[in-house]
Amino acid sequence: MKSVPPVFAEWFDKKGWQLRDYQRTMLVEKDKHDCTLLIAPTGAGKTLSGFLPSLVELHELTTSSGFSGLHTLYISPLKALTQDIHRNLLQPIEEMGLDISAETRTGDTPSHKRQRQRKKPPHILLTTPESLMLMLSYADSDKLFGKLKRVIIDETHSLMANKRGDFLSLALARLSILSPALKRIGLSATVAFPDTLGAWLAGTDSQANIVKVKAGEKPKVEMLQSKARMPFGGFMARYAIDDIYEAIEKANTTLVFVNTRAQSELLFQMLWEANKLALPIALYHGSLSKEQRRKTEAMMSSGLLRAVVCTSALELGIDWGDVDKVIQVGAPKGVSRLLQRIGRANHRLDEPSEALLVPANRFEALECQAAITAINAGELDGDAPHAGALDIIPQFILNCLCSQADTPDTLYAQILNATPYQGLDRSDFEKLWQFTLDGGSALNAYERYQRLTKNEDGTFSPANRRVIQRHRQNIGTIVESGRLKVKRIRRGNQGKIIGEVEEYFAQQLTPGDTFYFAGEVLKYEAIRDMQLHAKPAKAKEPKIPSYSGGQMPLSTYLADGVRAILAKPSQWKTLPKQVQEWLTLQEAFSQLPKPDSVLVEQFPFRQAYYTLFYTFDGRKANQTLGMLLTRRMEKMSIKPLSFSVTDYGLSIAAVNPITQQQLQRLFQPDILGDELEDWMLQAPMLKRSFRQVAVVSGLTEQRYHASQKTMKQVTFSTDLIYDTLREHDPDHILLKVAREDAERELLDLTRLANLLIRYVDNATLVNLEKVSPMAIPIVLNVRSEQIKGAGAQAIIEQADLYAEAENMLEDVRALLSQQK
Amino acid sequence: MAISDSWLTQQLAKRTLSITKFANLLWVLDARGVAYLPSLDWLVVSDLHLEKGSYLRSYGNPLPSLDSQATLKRLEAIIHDYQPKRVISLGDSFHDKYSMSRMTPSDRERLSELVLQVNEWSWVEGNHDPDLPDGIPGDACEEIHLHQQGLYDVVFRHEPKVLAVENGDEELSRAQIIGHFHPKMRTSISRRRYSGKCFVATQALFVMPAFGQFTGGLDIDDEVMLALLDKNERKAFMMYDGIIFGT
Repeated sequence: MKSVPPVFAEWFDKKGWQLRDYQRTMLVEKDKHDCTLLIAPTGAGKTLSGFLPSLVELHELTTSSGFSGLHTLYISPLKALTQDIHRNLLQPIEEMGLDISAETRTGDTPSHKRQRQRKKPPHILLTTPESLMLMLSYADSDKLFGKLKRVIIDETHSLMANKRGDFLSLALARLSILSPALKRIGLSATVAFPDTLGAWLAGTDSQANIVKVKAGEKPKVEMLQSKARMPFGGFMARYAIDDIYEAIEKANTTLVFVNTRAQSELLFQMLWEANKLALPIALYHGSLSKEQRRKTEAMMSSGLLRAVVCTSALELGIDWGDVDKVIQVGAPKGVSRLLQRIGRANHRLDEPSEALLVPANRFEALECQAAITAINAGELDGDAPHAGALDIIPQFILNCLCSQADTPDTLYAQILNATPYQGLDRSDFEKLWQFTLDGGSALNAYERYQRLTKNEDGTFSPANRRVIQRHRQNIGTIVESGRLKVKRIRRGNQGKIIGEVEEYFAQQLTPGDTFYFAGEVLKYEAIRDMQLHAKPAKAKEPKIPSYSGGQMPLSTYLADGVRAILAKPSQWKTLPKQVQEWLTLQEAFSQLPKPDSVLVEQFPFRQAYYTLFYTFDGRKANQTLGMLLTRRMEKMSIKPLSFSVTDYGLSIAAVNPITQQQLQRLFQPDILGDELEDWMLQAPMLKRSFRQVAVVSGLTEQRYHASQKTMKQVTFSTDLIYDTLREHDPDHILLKVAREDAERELLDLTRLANLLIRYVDNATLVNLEKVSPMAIPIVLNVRSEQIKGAGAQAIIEQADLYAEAENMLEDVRALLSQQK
Repeated sequence: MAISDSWLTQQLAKRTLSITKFANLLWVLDARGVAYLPSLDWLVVSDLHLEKGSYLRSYGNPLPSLDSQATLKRLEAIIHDYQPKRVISLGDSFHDKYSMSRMTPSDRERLSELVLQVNEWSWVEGNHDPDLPDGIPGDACEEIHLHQQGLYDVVFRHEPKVLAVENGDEELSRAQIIGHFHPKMRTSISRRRYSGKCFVATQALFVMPAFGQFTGGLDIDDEVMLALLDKNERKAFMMYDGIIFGT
């Protein structure tokens, strides 16, 4: 082991470990590349590989001449991960007796510690993108980061093609300005497109050296074959509880993944009821309080738990030792995502991970099968890169100027260095700059939008201290929906905070209502001081808090897989028997969706006509299609009432049925022209995305002084600003940004356009007397979008609420004629 | 008076109007949130809360003060349609004492023009605006009594008056037209849920919806509202997506 100093070699020996080949490569070539991307499956010792070059370097520096200041920055997308990595990092440092300091800094770090870290930074700092951006806004950021040698970006794959990644890419560009010799190291799980990820990491001017570690054994993935009856719809997998419990019983330690927090609460309840042996089972999701989560983490790592029911909060990185089974309840939604979850089991490369997929309904069984096929074929789905979100630019401009006065030219050059922004137009930048400066023409009359002033030397600075303060309080890209803390009351007003629920959910409750939270039933008492007070209680049918943004869209790759399975009955053999029967029944009752046309079913249901479009193109594209189709239906006097979507299809309820001719006119690509334009302009969707953009760009704030604004307040003000801008400054850059955002994130226009073009004049209408087997899961979807318009009004008319008014019309007429 | 028989018929067919009777008077209820008395050619609007946005803003809420403009524009369109002899603004027209000093010059002009274009404009005082801001055309008054031959007075005031004991039940039996409560409601028709601001009335009390852009609402099933308007006796007219209907 020549490549490492003796103290490291001894430590490896003592542990009985060998330096792996790629770890050696990364160490030997540590000064050769400006940017290295390590792609390795979970369990390959990725994190240590990332830190080794820094530890060796720091060891050499501290033992020879001494080194003070920040040497290495570690950035993780998850707060919890920094804690975990910190623990794992301190262990070798202590065991080798190295003179290296390592600390964490996140939103939870107390202010005295932050102050101290600024004055006397540790050698290694573990942080999050948001905390990094905040540190970059300090006037002394050049000193703090001036000596920085390396930056390690963990879970790099999770930062591709989303706003948080855009945000971090800008922060990295800035870091490289402050410390030109900075080397970047990215640690990533296996991805479909390593080169794109490398380009993201390296920045515009540089190239990444990609180190790939061969994947270990293919995981053993099975789908549950249950004797219980699998339901048509629903997401809770109640039918499979006994099977899940049995699997937990057989394994040593199990992670049970679900897709949403609401599902985790319910599944946990159900498992608890089935828990005859009183196995220690815990619950873990992002809305539980920090203390609760720490407790579960600690119990898990000391081997006290047999199973944890968890959401994607546990998907990334945290190493929990001896998990030997992963159960995925509900549809996997994407192959890469599923592999990431499965990778939580058996953190050793040489043994295959074991996973059990439990579809919650019959559609999901198809999806599970498609995922298993893909895993066996060694294929992955992945996000294509996207152009950086523009609403982050004003935030970045202000952030840089908080630290140091500068000119637009320099900042523009810096922004171009971040890969997602390499194509940013100067003219767009100018508009974003102008917005940062004074809000733009429609808003520059307002004092609060005068955020920058010009200095004598031609540079710009924040206009006053308030601007800086407001900016620092609102750094970030994640716009949270309003949350209320949940206080579990023992007596009087005393109790413990156990987590959060969304404002929206809290508003629906009336005193006495019961709901599941943190694994128990609570009775709602009142909302006091932005806290929801609730007492433990018993109840028959408690509600389940829902959280927005919990649902992942079905990946295109898996959607194609599902279509392929449907098309080939010969492939059905591996599906659970009940699913096979279901498909056969569908074939007999109606038709099966074919690869070369879109199946459209129509049937009367619940006092309306339901039309089912089997698109398989994911929730977002279906949502958009629903908006557009209902608009055209409205024009055609079909009087749509509401629609609901799943990943597989779209269901529209209307007062009148549609005909084949009408269907031809409905399902046309030109819907993306007229209707889209029409609808985009007044769409609540655009307002929704404008809200995000407004908060991220600093138009309005989520936090003001110490008080968090409720989402209702934010909504209220941004909707109004939106209308004003539309009227007075329709070219305002933020409107453009909101539109681009909506097209990309909410509408999935590309996917929808593909769908419409592919299936133009190829939609088959099947009229049925009642709901078809395949339609059931889609129709049963409870969340439906109500449509304002002739349909909704028609219902009111049918209710004959106007008789009285009509009767009095004559009287009014008489009065009118008298006055003339 | 600008509305015609045909306009009325048309609007009623479009459900943008409803008609009801209260205190022996016919009321045309407009889905835009105002009431019109065809027998008198009066238009009643309540709770404009002008400059509420800038008020909240001065307390640190980062809101734009564009609400007055929006409120006034909507009112302009309505007054253009009805061209009434008299407009009664039923209190809380201005959010606070200093509203006018914060209003933009163009909004101030817009407001003056609007008021001057009506023959008689009455500002009934409300809890938010006990004193009419300086320089506003129109007449300020505490309340407006409408005498009807052989019947009790109809009183237009901001908040309902609970009867003084010495008057016996006389005061109560007078019909009051009030604002103040910003009523809203929820209902469900054929499995579909609807919610919106509303007019709500009993025998003795007629509550106007709040008109201002930035006004929230109090559910008519709230305790406060139930105490005032008996559930079995009340009749509500809900405004939803540009139409109005009685429930």
